[in-house]
Amino acid sequence: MPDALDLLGWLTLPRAPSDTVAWRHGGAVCWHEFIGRAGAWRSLLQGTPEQGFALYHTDAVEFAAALFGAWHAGKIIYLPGDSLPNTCATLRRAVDGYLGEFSPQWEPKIPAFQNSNGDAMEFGRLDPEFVGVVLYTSGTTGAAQAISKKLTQLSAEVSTLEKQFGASLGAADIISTVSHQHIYGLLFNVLWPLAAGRAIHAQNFSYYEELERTLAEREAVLVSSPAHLKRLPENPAWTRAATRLRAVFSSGGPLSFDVASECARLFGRAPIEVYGSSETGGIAYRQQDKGPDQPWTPPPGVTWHFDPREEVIEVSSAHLPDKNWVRLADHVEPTENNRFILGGRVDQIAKIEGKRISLQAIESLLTSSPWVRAARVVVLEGRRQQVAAFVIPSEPGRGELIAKGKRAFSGLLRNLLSESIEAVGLPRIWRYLDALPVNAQGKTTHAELLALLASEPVRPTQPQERLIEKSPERAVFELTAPRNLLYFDGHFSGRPILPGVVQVDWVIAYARQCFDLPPVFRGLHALKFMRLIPPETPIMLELVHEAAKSSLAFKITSRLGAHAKGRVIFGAGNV
Amino acid sequence: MPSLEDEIKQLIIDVLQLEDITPADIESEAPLFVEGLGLDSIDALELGVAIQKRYGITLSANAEENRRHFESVRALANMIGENVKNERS
Repeated sequence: MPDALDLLGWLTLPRAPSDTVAWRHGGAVCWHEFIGRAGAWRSLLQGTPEQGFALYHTDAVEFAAALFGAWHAGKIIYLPGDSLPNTCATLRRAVDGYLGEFSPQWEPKIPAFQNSNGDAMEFGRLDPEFVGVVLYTSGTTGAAQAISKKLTQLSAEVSTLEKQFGASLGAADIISTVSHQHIYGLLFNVLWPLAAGRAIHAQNFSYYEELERTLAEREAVLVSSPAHLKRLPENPAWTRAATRLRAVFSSGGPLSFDVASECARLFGRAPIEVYGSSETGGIAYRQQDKGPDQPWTPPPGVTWHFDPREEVIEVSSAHLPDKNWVRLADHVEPTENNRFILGGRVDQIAKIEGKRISLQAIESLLTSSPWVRAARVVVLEGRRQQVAAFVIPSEPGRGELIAKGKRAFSGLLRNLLSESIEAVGLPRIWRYLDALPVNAQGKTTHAELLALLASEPVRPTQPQERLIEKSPERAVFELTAPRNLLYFDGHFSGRPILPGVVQVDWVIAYARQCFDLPPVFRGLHALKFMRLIPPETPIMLELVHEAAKSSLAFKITSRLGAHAKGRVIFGAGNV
Repeated sequence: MPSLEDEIKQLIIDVLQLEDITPADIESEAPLFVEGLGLDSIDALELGVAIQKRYGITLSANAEENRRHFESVRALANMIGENVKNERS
């Protein structure tokens, strides 16, 4: 295998038509078939007046055919990271059309599948100066930031990768857990292997077990991320198969030393970690085989210098469009031998399980809702990184929250976000507050918000209870709703009252403890809530079971007077 | 004794630390991913690892089968039931 790869001319290389280019659903995609698809995409686009197209396709082989077909037709390809409705709408301003798997409203183009007539598809060399691809990365505000690349930049990077790692990969297949819609996957899953003649796989796998078959027959290289590598299964068949991986790459954030060691035990060597950005491509590598916190080493051709004031580095390389220095958004500490240690990010971009998520974007989307007056979100570390949202509802929002309940209301806000934010970045923890907590300087800081969650022990959902009397058809309990009861959350911050639905739920739960009731809840009759129940107020719950009518009468009273009463009707299941 | 389906629902809630959701809120036949519960690919991995650990079963090497097995709580329960039965026989 030659050292310098020719990404720009790889379609002109002489190859046997039956050569395997890729695998799809266990079957080989041969060179002839791949060239046919690339040709079909080129024919579809050639000579059309449009200049730029958005491309989204989850099948890596079809994606590659579309990409090269479009380049050979002189079209610029815009690569969105996802195909969420708002992403497509935003792209509209930049592109003239859509290719691949977009929703029908965008009228995506895709050439018909037909047996190519065997004509040799002639492809020339691509123009190195052609700005062939525009990638997106989420900026701090959440507005996608466009990064255009000349083909020569991609070609240079692919050659660097081959020089650095090619020999150790041999002719292994490339299998991946990461998307080729981003720079890492684009280079590692698609461009590099194709140019190097390594077979790619059309689909990313969901569970490691799915690799067993591939690994039983062929050697492979795994292109992955910390999110996937820290969730390795333990089963003997997969563990045996894993030893056949020639190499494992990881990018999207540093691997913890624990995970790197676990991978080393399983795969025989620690993953090769790649550090870079959409702007710069890969700029440094490391393999944590000698201990934790090993520094990162830039490959030959990447030069960098340290800005001690900002504690960041700036790089220059052939993977960049020009000779200008590009600043990276991570804090860095230089060490000896041209190496450095990485710190946290400089900006407001969070990495949730390897995906760039703009917290500011989530906050502004939330506040754009008429139900929300203000919102702050923070990232919680833990076994799984997740986003917690602290929301101050508006007046109408407060009404909606009470009417629908916390879970349904949170679901509505989540839906609002899911038009623009990828699933891993959607808040999984919701808190509704009257006001944001502030520190002594009057600022709402990360720490104040985290403290709010930390001060929550496991919240009770049941009252303290005392059985007062019990006969076959009547029972009386004294119940006290503790102040930290979960159901007081958002059910008027500052003036907590026990929701009616919780009262009915407790009525039924206590009744089932005492009486043999039919399984199905049929309805509520004569339900009345006469007086609010505040926390820490002992209430008397009286239950009377009328077996003949399958009915349960209840009354809630206290020294304040009558709080609620009604009848619950039960019935047998439909048999 | 809770049914296998209820047990899986509780496992999903515990493993994925889902807030404000009880087993009763999860429909046995509703899709787990994207729509329905709205779980993502990371959840899929975690759930896969947890189910293997809990029930001592092995996931399929076939992607299409795994997709079907992880479609809903019911599908998972059927898969686990089958696996456990096969192991005993």
